Amino acid sequence: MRKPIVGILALALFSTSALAADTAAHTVTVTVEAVNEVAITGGNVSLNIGSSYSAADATTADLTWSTNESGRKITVVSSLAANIYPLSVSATAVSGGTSAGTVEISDTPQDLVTGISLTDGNADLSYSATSTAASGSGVEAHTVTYTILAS
Amino acid sequence: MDLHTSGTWATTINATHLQAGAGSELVSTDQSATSQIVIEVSATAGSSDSWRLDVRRADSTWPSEIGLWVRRTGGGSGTGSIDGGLAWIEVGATDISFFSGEGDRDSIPVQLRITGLSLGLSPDSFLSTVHYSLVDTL
Repeated sequence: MRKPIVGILALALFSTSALAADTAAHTVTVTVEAVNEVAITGGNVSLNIGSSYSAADATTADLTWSTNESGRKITVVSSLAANIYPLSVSATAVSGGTSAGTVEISDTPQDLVTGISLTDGNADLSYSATSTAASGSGVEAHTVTYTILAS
Repeated sequence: MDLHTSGTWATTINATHLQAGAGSELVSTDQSATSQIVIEVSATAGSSDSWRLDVRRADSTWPSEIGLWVRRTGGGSGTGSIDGGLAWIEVGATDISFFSGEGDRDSIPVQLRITGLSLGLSPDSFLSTVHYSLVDTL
């Protein structure tokens, strides 16, 4: 008995979807720089010391800041090398940091707000000044500078 | 059919990107020029030859909170047609359809955008490569 000859028809199956493709590419580079910004709002502050030998201002100035770095603090320093009427400041109602309490301002930078990391924040600034009878009368003008820097 | 792109995008985020100066957050997005990337599709079989352009990205160093988006901002020119891709599309690690067309098209403008910017993003540089694949859909 002759064996049947079975012809195998090979079918080539063509996909109706993608046949050919070409590619191209480009890069995207994002550079994030250090952001350390601090600002004062509310303008200049004037304290008039009267017969009580003390004066305070807690309504005028606010401190604001933004940083994208960890371990930051804000320091305060006066332009006066020496002063007759001690001037102090404290940061109150602090958001985005921790107040260092009341700081007597001098020409050496001192911590005012600490524990600032990767955030924006703000605080009210409360100034106070004192005198004594022996101090006499006079005017002292401070340029007070706030700086955000590494702890 | 052939695919060609021109252009790259490099952007720098700094204090100018604060929403309102000190005491505010960064703006959450940044975007390129509307024609930052230009795409050309050529060597098709004619104005009825259909194709699709897919897009994906491959990150070298890229923070997970930052999204990368693309969109087509114009139709380019050519005897064929183009469709889709005018809305922002987020680009991921796998191919996704960007836009499609028929025939040769050149000068197709593409804009890119990043999202998720915040002060929580420490100073650094990030790099990703955007890959386009032209698929002949017959």
